[in-house]
Amino acid sequence: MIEGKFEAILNRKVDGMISPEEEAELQEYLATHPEAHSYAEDLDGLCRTLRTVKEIDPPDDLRDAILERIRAAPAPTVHEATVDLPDEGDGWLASLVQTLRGWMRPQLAYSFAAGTAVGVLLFAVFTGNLTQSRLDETSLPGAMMPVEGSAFSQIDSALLQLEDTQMRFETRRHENQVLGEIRVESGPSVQIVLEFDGATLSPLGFWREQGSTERIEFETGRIRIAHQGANTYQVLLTEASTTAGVLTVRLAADDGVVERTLRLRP
Amino acid sequence: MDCARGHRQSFEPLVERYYKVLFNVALRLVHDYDEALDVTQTTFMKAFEKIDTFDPKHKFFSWIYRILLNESLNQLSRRKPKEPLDPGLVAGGDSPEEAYDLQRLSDRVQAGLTHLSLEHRQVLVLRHFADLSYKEIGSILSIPEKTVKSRLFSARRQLCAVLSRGRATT
Repeated sequence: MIEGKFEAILNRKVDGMISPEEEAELQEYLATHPEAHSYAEDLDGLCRTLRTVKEIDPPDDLRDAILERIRAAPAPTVHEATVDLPDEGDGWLASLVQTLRGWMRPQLAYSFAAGTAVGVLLFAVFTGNLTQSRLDETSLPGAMMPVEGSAFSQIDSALLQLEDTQMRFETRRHENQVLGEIRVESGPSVQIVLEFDGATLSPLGFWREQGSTERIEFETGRIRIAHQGANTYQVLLTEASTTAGVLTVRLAADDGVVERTLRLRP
Repeated sequence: MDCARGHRQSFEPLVERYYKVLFNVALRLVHDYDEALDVTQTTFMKAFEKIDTFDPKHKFFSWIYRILLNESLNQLSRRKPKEPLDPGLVAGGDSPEEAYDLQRLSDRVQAGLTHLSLEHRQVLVLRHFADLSYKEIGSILSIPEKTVKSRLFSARRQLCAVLSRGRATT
């Protein structure tokens, strides 16, 4: 038998999620509880076994079969770019934004759509119709974001600091896709700006770990994030040429501005 | 602009990126090679058709795993348990003996998995065959991280016991 606490620690150990303090505590426990050894060995053996047998290759034609079915399938339901006549107040704008969101989602790579979105947003702001509605990263797919531990390799990184703000920015690459990751902790409200060559790099996806209160604006070659608190953001860009591009990140707050330029190729 | 074409072009890299891992998860859940192929294909088709319902605030792979799990459950509910995995599915070792040993090991693990409840099998498969974190599994299954841990630890304990019994009888 093994105490529940140490069973949990052992399990987290095989998952690689144990602290040095817990490791020391565990070793001390195992030294004085020989009966727990067999459980520890069984668990370790099980995880090694699972690692050994984990990969089974699907047939070569599975991917092709899926793609073929997708190409042959009718187009998915997308909202038409038609707009109902406004009823009253904010309602028509919310309806328009909703319609455009649905319409734009599959068009993500097209800067035309992004331009239209920004135009609608500006119009809404100037006409005072915008309350909670925003055209932000929902007009980008997010669907293209990589999974953790995927094939992206780190290219460059930088630490940007202001008095109450610390931000780590990292670029990663996989084939013609570039991932920029921002991990930021700030006391006051700050502005983060990413700049890149809009002619060769197009945003494919945007993701943030939590929250939805930050304001995020997309322009050709530029993404602005109005940020406060702690969060992680990822932006995925696709590269249209083999030119060695760069990604510039700027952190601005009341107490100053810092800027770094990161490489996108090794 | 051709919306449909835009959808397809965006979708193809996703197929490329996820089809192998989704197939492996499906295989461990439905325990049948051909059905796992069907489940994987159907999952991608449903994801493609329903892409408008995907919330970009979340990660795509969490969303598609959820579809896969539902499809696997549908598949299981449509049939009775079947025979073990076909021999020869597992990547072999360097020698025939190693390949044979690996095959037997894989068969035992697969058979052991079928002794677990679906709840336990899901977390074990997502952790070990999809390499997902506790947090990611919780997000996919809509359960707290704490529940993920307790199910996973319990699943491992049960699988250990099943495999030990198997060893004792061979």
